[in-house]
Amino acid sequence: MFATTLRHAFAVPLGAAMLMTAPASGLFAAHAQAMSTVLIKDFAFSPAALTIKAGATVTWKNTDDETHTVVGPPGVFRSSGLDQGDTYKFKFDRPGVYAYICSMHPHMKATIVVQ
Amino acid sequence: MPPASPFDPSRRGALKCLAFGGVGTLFVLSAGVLTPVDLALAASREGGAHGIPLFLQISDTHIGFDKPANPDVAGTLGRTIELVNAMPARPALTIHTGDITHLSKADEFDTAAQLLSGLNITEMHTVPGEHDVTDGPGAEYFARFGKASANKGYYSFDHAGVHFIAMINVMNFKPNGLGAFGDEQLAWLANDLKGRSASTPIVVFAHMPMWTIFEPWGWGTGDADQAMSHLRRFGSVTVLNGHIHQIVQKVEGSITFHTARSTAYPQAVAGVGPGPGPLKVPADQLPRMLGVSSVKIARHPLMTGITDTTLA
Repeated sequence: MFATTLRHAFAVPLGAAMLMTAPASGLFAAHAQAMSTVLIKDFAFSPAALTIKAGATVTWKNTDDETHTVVGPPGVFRSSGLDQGDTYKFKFDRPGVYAYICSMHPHMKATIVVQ
Repeated sequence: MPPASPFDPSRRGALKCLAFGGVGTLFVLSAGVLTPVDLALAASREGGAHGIPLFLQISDTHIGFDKPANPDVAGTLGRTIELVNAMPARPALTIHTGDITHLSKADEFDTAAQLLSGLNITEMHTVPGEHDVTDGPGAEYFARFGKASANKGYYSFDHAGVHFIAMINVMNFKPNGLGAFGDEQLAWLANDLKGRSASTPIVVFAHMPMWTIFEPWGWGTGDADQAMSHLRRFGSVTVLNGHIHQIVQKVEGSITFHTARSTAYPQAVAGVGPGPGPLKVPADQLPRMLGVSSVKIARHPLMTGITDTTLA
């Protein structure tokens, strides 16, 4: 829900800039990237499931006073240790379902769905 | 309390909780019964194996942490080292049960090494905590401490007739969030123990608890039962862990399980709060919740004694 709202809101203030949404052609205006944020709070990823469009960047922000990491499938994405206030960004170019965990507290699980 | 040998097996009795100033109480385990012993009495005893604590367990130093729960972890580690250096009997070696650093950074490892070199115990053996390997393969940790295990993280050594086994359970987590040893390490353990006499005292140390203390917070090791199955035949097994920043103990037959305090910050008791994060307490209470443990292993009769000491 959050991601959808952001996409729509993003298109409006851009004015002349065109937000290309033609995944088949692979054309995206470089400055029209959708941004989505996942909060790491109280030993959980919030939202636990996030849907975005291919080409969007997700930003994780740790608000806990404990260190957390963002670890996706091997070789895909992995943050270093995130202290309180630290952020980590990853741009999802390929569609797919990406499950990830905090490698230090692996009961913390979440997903990014890239359309 | 009448003076008597702390290792006299005829001294049975109900467990009494005795406080000796701020130094701590030594509990001696004999044939499954814990008996408290005056620490001063034990330390003053003459002669080698009886009076001298065999080794020190230090844990969760978290060098690099600087949040309100303790803005000066280097300072509290320094005070811990002073406390250890002032102990009446010097342990022969130190075991660090992990989370040496907070964010696995090179400068944090440097600072930790510098501080720990202030211990008047020159021999130290380590296992990593999950905070030491946040970069995945643990490049920085293994660059410094990997030699003992050829970068595998698990190894064993002998000291004064006691067989020490270092294990790693922070690299392969189970889906339920518990730590794990993995099949290769378990096979190595079985092989390492094969043929050893059951009267050999064993000490196993690893970062995550080797029994399930509280699964929702990941306080346990998913395949620990397999490890314990190889250890049960031994007459004296001491399992030393860290990770939870508080002392929880369990005795199961000839096996004593013990988690140590941190020298950096305490954590909440299991289940109290959203998760196992740093617990902020009033400044005057903090030193009472930080500390170290010294462990004595006696051979005749086969017994373990653990002393937990706090900073204040």
